[in-house]
Amino acid sequence: MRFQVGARGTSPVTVVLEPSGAEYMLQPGDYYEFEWEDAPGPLLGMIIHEPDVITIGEGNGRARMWNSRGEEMSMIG
Amino acid sequence: MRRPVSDPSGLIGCSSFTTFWGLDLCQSVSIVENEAIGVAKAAGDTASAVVHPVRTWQAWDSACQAGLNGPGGLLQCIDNVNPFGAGGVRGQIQQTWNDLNNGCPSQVGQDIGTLQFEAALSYGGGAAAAKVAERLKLLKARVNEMKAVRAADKAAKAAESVSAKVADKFNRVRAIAKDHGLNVPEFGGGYLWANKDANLALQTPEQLAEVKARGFTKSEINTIRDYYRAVDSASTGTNPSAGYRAQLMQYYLDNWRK
Repeated sequence: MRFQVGARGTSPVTVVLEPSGAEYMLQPGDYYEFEWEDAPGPLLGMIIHEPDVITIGEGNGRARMWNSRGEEMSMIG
Repeated sequence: MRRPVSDPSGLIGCSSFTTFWGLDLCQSVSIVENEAIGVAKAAGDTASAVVHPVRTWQAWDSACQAGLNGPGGLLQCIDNVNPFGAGGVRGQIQQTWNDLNNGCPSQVGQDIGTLQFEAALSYGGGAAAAKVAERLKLLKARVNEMKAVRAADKAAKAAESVSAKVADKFNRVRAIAKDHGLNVPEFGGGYLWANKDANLALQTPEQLAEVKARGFTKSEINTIRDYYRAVDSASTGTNPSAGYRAQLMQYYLDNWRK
């Protein structure tokens, strides 16, 4: 499954990747694209919103991410 | 093994090409070949109309097909069409092809520019020259696409290699989470660890007692510590939490029996 996480507001949003703990700063108007591998388990993954922070927690499958230029990014920072 | 220039099928030597840049180079070479054929066809159109009026389009087409199907290949096809006027184009297609085969994408870009010049020089202006220019523009765009794909592939491999450095250790942590009926991210938020320097506040006897009460073993904590140490070591400076989490796990280990 692929999905995008975007920042529609006027200020940057910190995207935290779990479980690695890596962090990236998402600028207003920009987005990251994620791919979660389908895998057995109770959850495919989890997305948690806090003020100025979005935590993307991968589930039991492999996860990958790209920036809006299509460049793959490290999931561990 | 390098694919012979005369091979229009794009099949011979594919296995070696596919591993040369980590891309389907045969496909890329075939693009060049197909576009070169397009150049040859446009050139042939001009040749039949201007340079060699005695040749009809049908005659050229037959000659070209014979060249493509026979041992001569594309370059023979061009020779069949216009053995004299096509010299510059012929040589430049050969050069472009060679540079592509030798893994010189930047040189290919220059080759295409020269090819465009040679084509204009050999076949003059008019509608056919416009066709040549159109084909070359397509060729250039496709080579640029190929370069972009290669750059993205390189970036992907770099990103993958960073993650791959900790993949084995992460799988062990994932197995621990599964044994506890959780996903690994659910260990966060103070359950086992926190973010950034908030991990320092968890270095207390009370937190350690909680961890033990939740059923974690010393061996599991050791495994988790090793994972975060590896993440901290492999990350490129965009992970402010891994080091603190490794320190927290070390605190648990150091104080396990106290």
